[in-house]
Amino acid sequence: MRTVSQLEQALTTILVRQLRLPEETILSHDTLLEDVGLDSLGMLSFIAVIERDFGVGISDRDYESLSTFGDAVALVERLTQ
Amino acid sequence: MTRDIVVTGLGVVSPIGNGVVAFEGALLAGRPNVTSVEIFDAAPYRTRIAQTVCAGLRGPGDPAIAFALTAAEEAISHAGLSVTMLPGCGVAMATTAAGWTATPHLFESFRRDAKPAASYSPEELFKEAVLFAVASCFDLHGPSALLSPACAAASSAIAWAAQRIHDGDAEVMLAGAADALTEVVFAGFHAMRLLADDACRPFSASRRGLVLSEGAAILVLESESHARDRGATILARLTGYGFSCDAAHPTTPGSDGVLRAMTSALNDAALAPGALDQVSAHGTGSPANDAAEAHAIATLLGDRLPDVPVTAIKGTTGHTEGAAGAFGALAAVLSLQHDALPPLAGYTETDPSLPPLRLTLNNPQPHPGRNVLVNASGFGGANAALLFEKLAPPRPAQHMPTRRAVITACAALTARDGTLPPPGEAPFWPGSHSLPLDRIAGLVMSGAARLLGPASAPQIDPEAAVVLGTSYGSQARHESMWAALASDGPRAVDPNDFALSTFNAPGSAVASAYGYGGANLVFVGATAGATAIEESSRLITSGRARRVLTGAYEEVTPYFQRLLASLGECDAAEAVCLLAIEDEASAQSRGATALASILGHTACAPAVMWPDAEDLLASMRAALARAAIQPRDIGAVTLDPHANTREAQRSAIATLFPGSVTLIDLVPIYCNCLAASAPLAMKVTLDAAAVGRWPQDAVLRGDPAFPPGRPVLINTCGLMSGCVTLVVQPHARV
Repeated sequence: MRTVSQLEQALTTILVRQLRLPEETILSHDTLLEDVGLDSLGMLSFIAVIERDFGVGISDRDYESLSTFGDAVALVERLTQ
Repeated sequence: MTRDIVVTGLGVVSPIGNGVVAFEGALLAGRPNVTSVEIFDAAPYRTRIAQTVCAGLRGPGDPAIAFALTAAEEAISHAGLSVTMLPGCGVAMATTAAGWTATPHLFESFRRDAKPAASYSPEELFKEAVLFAVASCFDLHGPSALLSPACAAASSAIAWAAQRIHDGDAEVMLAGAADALTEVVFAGFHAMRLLADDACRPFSASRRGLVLSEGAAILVLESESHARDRGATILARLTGYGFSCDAAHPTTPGSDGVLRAMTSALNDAALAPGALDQVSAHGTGSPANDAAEAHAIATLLGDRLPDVPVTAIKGTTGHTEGAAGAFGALAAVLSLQHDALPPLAGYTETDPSLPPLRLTLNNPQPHPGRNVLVNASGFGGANAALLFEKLAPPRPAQHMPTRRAVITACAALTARDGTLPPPGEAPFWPGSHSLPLDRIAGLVMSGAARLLGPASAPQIDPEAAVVLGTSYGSQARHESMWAALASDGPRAVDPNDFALSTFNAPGSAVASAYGYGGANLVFVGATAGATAIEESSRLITSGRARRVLTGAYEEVTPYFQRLLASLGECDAAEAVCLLAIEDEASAQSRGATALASILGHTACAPAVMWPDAEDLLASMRAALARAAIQPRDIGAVTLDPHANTREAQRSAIATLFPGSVTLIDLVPIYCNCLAASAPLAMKVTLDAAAVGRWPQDAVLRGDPAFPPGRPVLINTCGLMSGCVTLVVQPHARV
């Protein structure tokens, strides 16, 4: 099982690749995903990659509750426990 | 619109009932027919419901074709059309998913280098088959087109057909759409998280998404004088239509775009918003669509918001994808005919975040209204609105602006020109940080940049349109979806692939980048590039646009290449060829040179799979007649590149031009660029006019010197696409 910091790093890597952000990007838990540059379609892609990489299924309700980077980390932590 | 167009027949196949009577009964009862999906294994999906047509009507091949034929037969019968009238009729159809029942299986065999488990006919593999089936079955030879601007496709087809009647190209047109539920589309909407898990609930606070559906809806449109002369029962009048593009996000609907389409339709009918008696909303039940549309309707209606009923039939019919606008139109005509508003099925509670629309809750409501507006919107920000009127005394003719359309620029990206960038480029969608453009959309954007300069934060121009043609759309996106679904199941389907799989996606990218907020149309098939050019010219002459970016794009993958080879076609080639067409006065005022204009055109429906000499001859003769010139006036003829039509073309040309005429063959230059062939023929013509000579390797016969001042005839024809002929007059350069 991955630690929270490993999850943070993994999700940051996904976003850096998807959004072509600088490699050294650090995201805090209260960063709004919208502010990072994820529009509605970007969010769908981000979540689709998480589902694939972590082998989890994310319900529509969980998906709709995501707004910050911390929400995403917490969700993946819960689903992979 | 100045020439009155009426609806005289309706036909429908739907999950809630087959035939107009059964359909209307279920619609007025607000009785959807949501069931568990059975046509594929829905177990891996979060949502497992849909609405499907009864098994007995699905037919042996592509169900969309069976639906279309059944609905067309009913519409023709309902209109009381005799067999002798049919050959003069035209047909405009729309679809988004036709061909996608069989194609993913054939593609999977190709990808695995395995023998296909079944053999498939072209009718199962090409979207054009929907158009071809209706035209050939009912022997229709009039103007024809297949449109696929996502879920605004059917309304666009109806509008296209109406314009042909308005302009006197035909007296009667069949117009509508057919789509069948396919796993690929279901998986795509699933990846987009747009599917409801219990019911479609338009405008309700409880709405969770759409319920996918299928079927066909077809209207018989007719000039009012023709309908009256033959004593037909007139069901309603089509008084206007409007197109728009959000020119913003590829999938999130924008209220400004919807508003522009509605306003454009009202302007077309010279009607104030206050005269509306009903709005039939697109109303998919998705949170974003309904919010954008509700705000647009509220802005449009203003003070009359509390008075004008708003309904959305998808709570009952489900979302019939590309056919949605035809279902809305059919329901609107029925509501005018029988003075009854269908209830808003699925609605449970008020959404306080939405403007207070007067929704048609509860049971069917008697409503002797007169004017109904029908909305349709699709991915890529494509919107189309139709306006129907309860039969009333004929309307006074309106004065429409008279504009001339001229071609002012042309650019091509082809292997021959060395203008194709290396593979693998992934530019970003303008305004978004997260959405990479695929190669073909990137090529279309590159072509646009050659004509329009670099894109910069644009003002939306409602009189600027993008109208393109293509044979197979964004094929790499489609193949990516098919492969992901086949290999790893629905969770592997990339939402970007689905969002950008619609055939209007490349055009929408351009519209977003350059603020082209007018029509966003895409035609499908081998003749689609020529149809797009012709429609662009007409959008300008009819006062619906001032400038149009038109042309065609073709993305040729190895799979598509093999598919064409199996049909005996020569090598196909990737190409984008775009033209700028604009209002002559606007071009003059900005100092642009008018390079050419279109003198005449014709489009003949695909009565046979590959057009024969008779079809081609009829097409060329009609185009020359429209241009009011004789065959001897033509300076050169360009051939369509399809190998299967070469003999027919030679025969028809020999008959029409018994002396000799210069023949221009683009195959040695470009191979077969399919729908892009007509725009490329236009480019070659413009280039030849500029330098006074045809390219040496393109002259199949005749004089390589370009005949100054003489028009050129551009022929296009192809599989299940009929013939489209353009007569182009290059202008003398000053």
